[in-house]
Amino acid sequence: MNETDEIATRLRQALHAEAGRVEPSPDALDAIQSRTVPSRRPAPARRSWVLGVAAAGLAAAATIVGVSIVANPEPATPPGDSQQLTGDQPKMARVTVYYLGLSDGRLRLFQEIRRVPAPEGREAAAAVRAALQRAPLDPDYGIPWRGIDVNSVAWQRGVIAVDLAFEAGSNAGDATWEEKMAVQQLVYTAQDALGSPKPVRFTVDGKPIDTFVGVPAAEPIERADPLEVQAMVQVTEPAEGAVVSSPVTVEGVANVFEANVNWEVLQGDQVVKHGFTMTGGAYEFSPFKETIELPPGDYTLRFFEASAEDGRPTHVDTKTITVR
Amino acid sequence: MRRTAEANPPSQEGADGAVTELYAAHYSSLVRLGWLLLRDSGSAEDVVQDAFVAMHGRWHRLRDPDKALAYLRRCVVNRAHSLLRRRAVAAKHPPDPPLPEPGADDYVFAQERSTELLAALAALPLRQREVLVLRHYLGLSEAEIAAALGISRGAVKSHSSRGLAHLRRTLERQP
Repeated sequence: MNETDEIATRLRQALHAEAGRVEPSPDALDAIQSRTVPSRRPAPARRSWVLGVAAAGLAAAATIVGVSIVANPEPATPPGDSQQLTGDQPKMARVTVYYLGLSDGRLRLFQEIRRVPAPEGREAAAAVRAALQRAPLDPDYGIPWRGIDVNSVAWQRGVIAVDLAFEAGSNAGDATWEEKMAVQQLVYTAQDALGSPKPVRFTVDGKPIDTFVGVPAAEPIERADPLEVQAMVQVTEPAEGAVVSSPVTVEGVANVFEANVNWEVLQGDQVVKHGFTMTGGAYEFSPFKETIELPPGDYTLRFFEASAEDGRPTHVDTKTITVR
Repeated sequence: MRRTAEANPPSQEGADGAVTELYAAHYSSLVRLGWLLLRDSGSAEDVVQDAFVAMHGRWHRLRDPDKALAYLRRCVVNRAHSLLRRRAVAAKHPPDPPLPEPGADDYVFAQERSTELLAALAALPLRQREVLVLRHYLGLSEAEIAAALGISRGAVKSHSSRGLAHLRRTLERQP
């Protein structure tokens, strides 16, 4: 018997001796069965939710409209981003667009990095237009706007001036949380595009407005605390539906317990690989990057924070990808 | 909510039966597996019970006790893995109180050597530890370990040989 075999034999004996000293509790079957009776099982139905539908009496044509966001939908093919472009190709810009989605059951902002047509010097307006009109690639996210466009985004006396085009009407009444989030979606997108956290002044066709979907807008609007509005875990690369080669580089931003982002790679319901990575810092939004080797196939990447209490996945962001 | 008088669909009955059967045959060994990985009997039981609940919900896809057992193992190892990762970072979790000392009849010398070996095992990287416990406690094959951990057979082989080599070196250094 060589030494390694001897170690293996000793290890086997030690593990069995050690395990034999553990007595599992006798009533565990009851505990399990109480959790598997049919009435206690959540229905496998697709979960959908609707963003606050425009309040009755809200006369503005720019309204927050119902957006159905479906968790665990069918894998989507990415629309739009690679438009068929012939002849005069408009210049494309890479911008960060914020969308709304659910993070741990709460409405939050999620970033997507998009390539959008943008004339030279108009990248910020293109980003805001995408936030208003261009469907997110990830079907877990949504756009709360309809009937609204952007004229320009520019610097004006130390604030970011976003001039919008819509039929403004009176919209009295306090903004709902959904409406505030919809405005923050534009604030964050404009600020990211200009690389500055300065407040944003919204105007409509050059004219000041008192409120914007119920949010006071006479003064420039400050960005809300990221902790209150951003999703805690956001995967920005690869994009939903992307076809990539192995090793797959996954990037994103997160604000998680002990800077620890957990991940799983699934095929169907099966976890085929899992691990974790660290962000740049705990208790702040900071970037993470992970490299995962995967054989060719279709996968779902699932990045999340493991709950500090019980390790349960929370603040999940998923991306469906194909490895070629 | 109360259960309705309607008959359960067949898959529900199959799932209930599978839970009962697999529980009788494997609950203890799975909890012990969880304990060897986590060194904490409360967490080990939680992890295994969660695995049974997950298996029940997935029975319509598994439909086979062998597949269901493989699924249970994978759940236990995955969940233990997540917990350990978390603890490694948090390093705050109080360990279980030590198990009762062996009685006077036990071979104390053998026990000490086991303790050294298990301490060395506990110091190994997580993956190596998981591979060694699945191999030498549950007696799983390389293919079964690969399936349980979601890694390749080559990776199982290398974790196993590196883990054993490490144990041997650690023990050699001790007096």
